[in-house]
Amino acid sequence: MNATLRDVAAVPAVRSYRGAAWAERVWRGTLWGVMTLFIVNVALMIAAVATSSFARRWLGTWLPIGWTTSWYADAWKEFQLASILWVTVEVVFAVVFLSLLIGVPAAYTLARRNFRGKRALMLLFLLPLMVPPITYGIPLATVLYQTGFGGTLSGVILANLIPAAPFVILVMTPFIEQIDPNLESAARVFGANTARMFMHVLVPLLAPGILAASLLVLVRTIALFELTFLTAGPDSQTLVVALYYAVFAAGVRAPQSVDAMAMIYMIVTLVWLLIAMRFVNPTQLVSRVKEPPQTA
Amino acid sequence: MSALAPRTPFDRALLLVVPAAAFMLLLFVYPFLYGLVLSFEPAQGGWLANYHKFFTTGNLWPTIGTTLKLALPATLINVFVALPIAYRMRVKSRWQRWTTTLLVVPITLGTVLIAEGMLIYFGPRGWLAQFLQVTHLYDGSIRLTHNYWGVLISLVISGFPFAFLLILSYITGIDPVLARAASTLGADPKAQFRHIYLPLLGPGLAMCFCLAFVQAFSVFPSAVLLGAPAGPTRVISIAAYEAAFEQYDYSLASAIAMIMGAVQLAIVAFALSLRGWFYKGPVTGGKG
Amino acid sequence: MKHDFNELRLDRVTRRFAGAGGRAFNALSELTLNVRRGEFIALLGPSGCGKSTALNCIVGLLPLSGGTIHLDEIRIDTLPPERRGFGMVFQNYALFPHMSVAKNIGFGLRMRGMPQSAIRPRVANALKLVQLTGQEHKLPGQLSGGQQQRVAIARAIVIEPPLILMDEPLSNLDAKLRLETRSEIRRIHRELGRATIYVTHDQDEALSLADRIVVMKDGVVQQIGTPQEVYAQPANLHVARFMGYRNVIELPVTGERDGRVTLEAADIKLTGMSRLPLDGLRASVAIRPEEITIATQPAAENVVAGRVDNVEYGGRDSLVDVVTAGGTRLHVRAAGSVSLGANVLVHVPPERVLVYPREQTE
Repeated sequence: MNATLRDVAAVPAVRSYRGAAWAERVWRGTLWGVMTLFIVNVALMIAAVATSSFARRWLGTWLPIGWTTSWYADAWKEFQLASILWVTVEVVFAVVFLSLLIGVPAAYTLARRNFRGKRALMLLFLLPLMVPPITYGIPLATVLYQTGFGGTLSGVILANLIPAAPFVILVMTPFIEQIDPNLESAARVFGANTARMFMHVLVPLLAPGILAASLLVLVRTIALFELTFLTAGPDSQTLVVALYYAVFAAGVRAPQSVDAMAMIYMIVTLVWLLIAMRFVNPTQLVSRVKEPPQTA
Repeated sequence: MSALAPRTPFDRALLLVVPAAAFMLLLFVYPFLYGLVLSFEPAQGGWLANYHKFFTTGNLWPTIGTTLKLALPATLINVFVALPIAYRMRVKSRWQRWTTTLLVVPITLGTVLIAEGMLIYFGPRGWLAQFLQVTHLYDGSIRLTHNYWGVLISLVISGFPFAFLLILSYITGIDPVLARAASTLGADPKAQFRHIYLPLLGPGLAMCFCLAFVQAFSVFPSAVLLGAPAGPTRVISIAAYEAAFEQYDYSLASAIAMIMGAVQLAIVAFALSLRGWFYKGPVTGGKG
Repeated sequence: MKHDFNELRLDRVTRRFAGAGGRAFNALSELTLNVRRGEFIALLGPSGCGKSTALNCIVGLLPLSGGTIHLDEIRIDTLPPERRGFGMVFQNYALFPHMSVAKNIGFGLRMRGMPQSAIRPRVANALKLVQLTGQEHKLPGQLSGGQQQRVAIARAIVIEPPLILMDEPLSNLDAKLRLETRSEIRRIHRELGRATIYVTHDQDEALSLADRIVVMKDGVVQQIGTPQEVYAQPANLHVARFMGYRNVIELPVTGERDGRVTLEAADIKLTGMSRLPLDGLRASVAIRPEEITIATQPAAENVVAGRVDNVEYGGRDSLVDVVTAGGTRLHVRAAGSVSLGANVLVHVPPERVLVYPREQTE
């Protein structure tokens, strides 16, 4: 064969290989720099809130002049955090429970059956996750107020269910698909009716998926601002909405009490976040790309 | 064979999906349609009066431009800074897990906490300002809060981790053996990225852009707390909120929400149409 | 890189991995091999023997922990894969899913800066060589496994590499396709005459394709030889087992002279040939089932009595298990059919009883 192929030459490669390594190192350093800058600044930001919440007075110096924990007590009383926390707990757990209740059976059907209109149904379930809460929240709030649900606890729960149920379906469907359908047939052959099959075979196998879905919904609902903001009344606010109002009216109150409240909010979220991350891959918390569960 | 073949019995499993479907229809589709209809029924004027009002009122129609001026740069920054970093981290390692975990935290903390944190940290007397002064990197006061920049920065802080995690999951889905095969054929790392990873990432990047953009376009609490909601950062969601809860004009509010949805849809449709240029099939290298 | 060479020298090539618990283990230990121009070398062994590691080290996807690789006078183990210029066929083909067949094949040429006008005829030639003319515009996802395999081969050879590396290319194909593609590979090698290193765990493939076989186990070379050598004179028990010497029996040694060894137990008395020094009082013999015959008349030596315990009819011959009085099971490939439970005498010529030092781990 002739020699029109240009040789991938060996001799100049030595020199350019070294040069390329230098450029490569600079590029890598830049990327790491950006990443570190990002993480460090966010960490410092959170630290700033924490510091402020413990500060007696802090104006324009590196560190506050004195330290105190009185702001927490102030914030607790001032923002009625006890009742707000209770409301948050009610909302969040109701949303988790209800979204599992309607989401898991729906996921089962979607995973196991094919039927006409299945794709349209899946689109219907996917839509609330694609459309931002503000866009559908405004019409939703309108309807809720017209039907008398606006401003009530039930209204808030219903509103937060809208992104939660599809999320459960999204997480559970690949989970169920992964379970061998022969197991269900085997259970039937050995005499189980549908209810017993569910209880003794499916639910135990699905338990990890259900746990994962619950934790994901929980963390997301705590942090979800817009829907609750639009549909809550003065006594059905969750923690994040109360925090917003506190920051909004911060000029009137001492900023440190607002920061104390922000810290309380953050701790509540972080605790649940850390619990969730023990059981769930961090990517699933935010990514809408479903991750098939790892087979053991 | 009997003359009448029995019909297949109704599959009761299909009933399981009814509650969820009904819920969605009732609380998502219906309010949306209700809002759409409502937007064409203003208190006074013809059926297009709301829309006409929006596009002629001085503090309403510019909100589209204001929001786009915030959302588009933020999304572009998020997606195109996340890309090289996620690419660098495509190999599963300790670093990858740690960074992933660290980045999840700002997302879950939410926009409100980020806003408050920024007001303190990025404020004119916050640590950042003091740091810059002490090191003489920048003299004079910094204005990063209560203006456009504050909102932009908060959009990057809340949007970057999301874009990063999404792109990372796309990249790790590409079989690394393809890059290895390319290298045996003479492709150096730059060529491997250009010819193998980039084309295969195309659809994923478009998707990531769409999701990140939609999130950024609906910015609300940051624009109020960190921005100047009366002027430079008066985003369209603020306009909708004001119409609904300050003027109690639900019809106008619905109209604004519809316009907001339409603009988002237009840009998403455009981005997804670009997706058609790219290969969309499975990204493994072997027998399917 | 060069397009032709006289010799590829691997000198004590070693590759260490960090194993579980942080301890390093050698995936490849001191591989030393000289590949001559145009030679077809097979790396043969079970999973985990280091053959794929060796291949990846040669192509540059793995750096060496020790040793060197030279292509004639040029040292190549310090170069990245894109600079070595070898062609590689991956086990799962690794075809670029977003490129057509023609673009896949032409990729290497594109990387070398060749203009499209020159690429096209070469791609067409390569397609003709693997008998895939007409499939240029298909995507890999639209091809069958066998067709994908051939595209992978075409992609590796079109760049005219001095050396072609193949990593178990036939293991994902069904049996019939495997035989056909094997013939294809042999034909292509004859036509192009390029040196090839071929990794497989299938001894039939190695025997039929290679000029020389390198048998490996746990990262260590067991034997390097022609197919005839490895088939008839395996260097040790592991190689023997791998090459189909199914009967491995440990027996006490009663005598030895000039490589001719006698071994005797209660139910078996054999004379065999040994090439290695035997240590101790016991040794292992290895015998192929094909070389044991059911004796129709008594012979002088190497006759063993036993009962037929299992018969697997195979048409032309049968695989028969003969169990001796002492419980030793012999696998015999007998012509014709044999009745179950019959008492038989089996015979094997002494030259085909290979004697080895006793296996240490048992």
